[in-house]
Amino acid sequence: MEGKAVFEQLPALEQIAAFPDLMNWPRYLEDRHALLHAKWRPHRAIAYGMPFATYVNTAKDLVSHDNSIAHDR
Amino acid sequence: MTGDGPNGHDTLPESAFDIVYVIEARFEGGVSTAVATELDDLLFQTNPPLVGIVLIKAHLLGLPWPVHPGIRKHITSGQLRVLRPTERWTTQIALVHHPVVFANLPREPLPVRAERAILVLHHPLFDNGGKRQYDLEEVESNILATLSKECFIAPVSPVVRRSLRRHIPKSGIVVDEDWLNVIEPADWPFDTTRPAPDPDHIVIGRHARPDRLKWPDTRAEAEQIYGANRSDVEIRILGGGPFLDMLYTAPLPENWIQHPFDSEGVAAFLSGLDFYVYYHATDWSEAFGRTILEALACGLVTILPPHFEEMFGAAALYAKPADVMDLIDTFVADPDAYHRQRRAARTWVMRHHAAAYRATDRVKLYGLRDRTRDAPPATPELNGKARANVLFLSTNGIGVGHLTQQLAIADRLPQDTVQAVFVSMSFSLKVARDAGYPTFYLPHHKHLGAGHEQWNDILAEELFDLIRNLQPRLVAYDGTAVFGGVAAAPDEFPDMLSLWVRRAMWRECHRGFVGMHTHFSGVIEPGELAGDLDHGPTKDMIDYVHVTEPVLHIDPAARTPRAAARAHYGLSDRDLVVALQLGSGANFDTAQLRRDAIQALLRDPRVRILEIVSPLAPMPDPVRSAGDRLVQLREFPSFLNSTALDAAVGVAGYNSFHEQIYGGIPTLFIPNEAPEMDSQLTRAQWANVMGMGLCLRARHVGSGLGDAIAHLLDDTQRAHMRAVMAELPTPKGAAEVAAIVADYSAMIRTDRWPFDAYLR
Repeated sequence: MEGKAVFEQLPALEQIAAFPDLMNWPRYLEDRHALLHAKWRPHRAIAYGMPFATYVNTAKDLVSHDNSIAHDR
Repeated sequence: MTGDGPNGHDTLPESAFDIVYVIEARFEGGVSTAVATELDDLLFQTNPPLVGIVLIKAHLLGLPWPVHPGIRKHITSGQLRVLRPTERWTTQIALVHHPVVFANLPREPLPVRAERAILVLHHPLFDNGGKRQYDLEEVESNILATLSKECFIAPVSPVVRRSLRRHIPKSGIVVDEDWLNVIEPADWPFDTTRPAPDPDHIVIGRHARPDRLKWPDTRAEAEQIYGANRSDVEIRILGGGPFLDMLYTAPLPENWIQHPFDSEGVAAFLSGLDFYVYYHATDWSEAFGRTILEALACGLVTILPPHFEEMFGAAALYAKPADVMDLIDTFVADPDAYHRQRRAARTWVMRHHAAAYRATDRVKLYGLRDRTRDAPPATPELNGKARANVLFLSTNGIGVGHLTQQLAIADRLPQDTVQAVFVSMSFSLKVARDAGYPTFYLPHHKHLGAGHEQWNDILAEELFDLIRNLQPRLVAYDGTAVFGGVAAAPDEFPDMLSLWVRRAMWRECHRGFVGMHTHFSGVIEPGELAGDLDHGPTKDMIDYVHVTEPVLHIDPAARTPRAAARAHYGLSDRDLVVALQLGSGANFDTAQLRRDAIQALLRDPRVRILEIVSPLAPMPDPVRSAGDRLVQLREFPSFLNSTALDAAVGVAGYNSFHEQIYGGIPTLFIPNEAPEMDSQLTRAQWANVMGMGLCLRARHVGSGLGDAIAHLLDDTQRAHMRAVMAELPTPKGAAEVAAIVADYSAMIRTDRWPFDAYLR
């Protein structure tokens, strides 16, 4: 807060890999992304480290396709 | 047999279970006791049937009562398998005890389909005032639609049977034999050596749940029946409470001694009585009278209103209210008659309600076949999910307190069927992740500098997204403040059960949250050792709350042995080890206090200080002059190695306070009295008064710290404190709350009425 910065935290990829069945991760991350944009209305998003799209794609790779379908039933 | 109906079973395979109970297992009275006794009979055989249970949340109980202990013990032992909502099973027989279970359609498919259902009616269809108690046609219809295509109706007594009269459903099959309550004689000992009553001290008792309907209509009548103000008579009431003061207008007669209702310890209560006398309200129609049966089984001379004669025959005596005390006096004057009546009662129970009516034999009358397998097949999973999610939600707090308490619960959940997930506004969330749980962080408004209204709106959306995706069976919230965004979550998912697990010891500034309990399915309050001294706002909620024993994250007996703990910290046997644990300092400036405490402690050359620093606090100045006599570390949970300690100086937050006391660690408590904290001062004062610890207010440190630490370092004083603390039994609160969370996460709701449940 001293630097006038606030932090939001997204689930670690290690956690997604450890709990692939916990939920439909890609859908949740997309929801989260949309809500964070609505919350902060940023003029621009600058990635420090992994860009969000890469993060979501990596998460998708970590959870099985079958599992995503299962959650959508 | 096929089941192509609403339960998702296209074809029923060979039944996996022999018997499945579909019940509201939280009833605290006779229904649950009757089921518990049946289970004892069923499961304690050498070749028991495979028995499961579907936990139903019916509408009669609004409070977060736990499952009846007589039923829960079989779940805990693993012999009674809870069928969870995501599973699909089959069974030969489904036993539905009490019509309230199916007063409404279940809000989701049941996890079992039965070849045959038996609806046991534990309650008359009409009370004595002619008021209908349930809609039997609706109940049966709901069973046929969701559980089994065949349903037998079995009343528990002639009273219930007669109440049906012309109201038997068109498709209903009411069996001829009553579903009699069974009793295990060994649980209700008959004392053959009991002397006749002492004429100068006659002990009369009664046992019923605390309900005005279980008492005579008027005080005058009750006083007549229960020997009010007779100096030679003591009336013991198991199941008393404030309702009785209201019903009869306090003060009550001095010879009426009240005890809280309890389903445990009843046999011990009965063993102290000479007579058992039970009269109830005119409007009440007792379906059977389980508590009467228990008294008769113990051989108590029992006096009842005449209408009970149909059920208990020669086992009891029957009298009008005006004649009760005369009848008692007659038996006191005639010891032979007294003992004859005792034997008659016991004999009658043995003949009609004991072993001859083994539960299995009775169920066989309904077609139960011999068991063909040793265990049910592997759990059928739905949607690829083997475990139900339970979401532990917590506010930020100033330390690790909320998360520690939630970990105490999560660590005790059945790991094979429940997945604990943590979402918190706390910077300490890492402790849950380190413990192996999935975690989600949501920032608190203080960390964002956000306005309350806007922040609450967004918090509600964030929780909505998480819950929508996670689909938890239950949300357990830990925090005093129930923010609007938190309250909105259970409101948005009305079928999802939610528990507010919150501590007592509130300060007045928290009173505004008292009414927030309405947003949750129930409130659970972890017990406080100092609870009797708490006069804060939560006392106004007590009627809506289930209070458990104190909750500890780590059981004291599970701690590291002392020698290993000392080796862990690099401490020797000769050291007098004092922990210094002053919390995060977020709202309690401890810098000067810390320096003074270290200085005072080091005056004793035996002392080595173990400074356990909060995960949220910066590592403080190492005090170079202390050398290796000051060991600083961060550790969670530090209680695990607390056997290394001889004493401690610390704050009195819920977790650390109860850990120090139950861990037998003599402690100087310096409570954090910041206004937003719970009343640590009350806890510290209690420990001081009880001789289990010392209390020093931070504002008195300047003059009192030296003396307090000298007191703490005195070997004799510490030995006294340890001796007193050693007398405390280990609390089972964590296991108790975990059992409630596990059971509620498996519950299927029939408590929601159609006008409320089915959105249009």
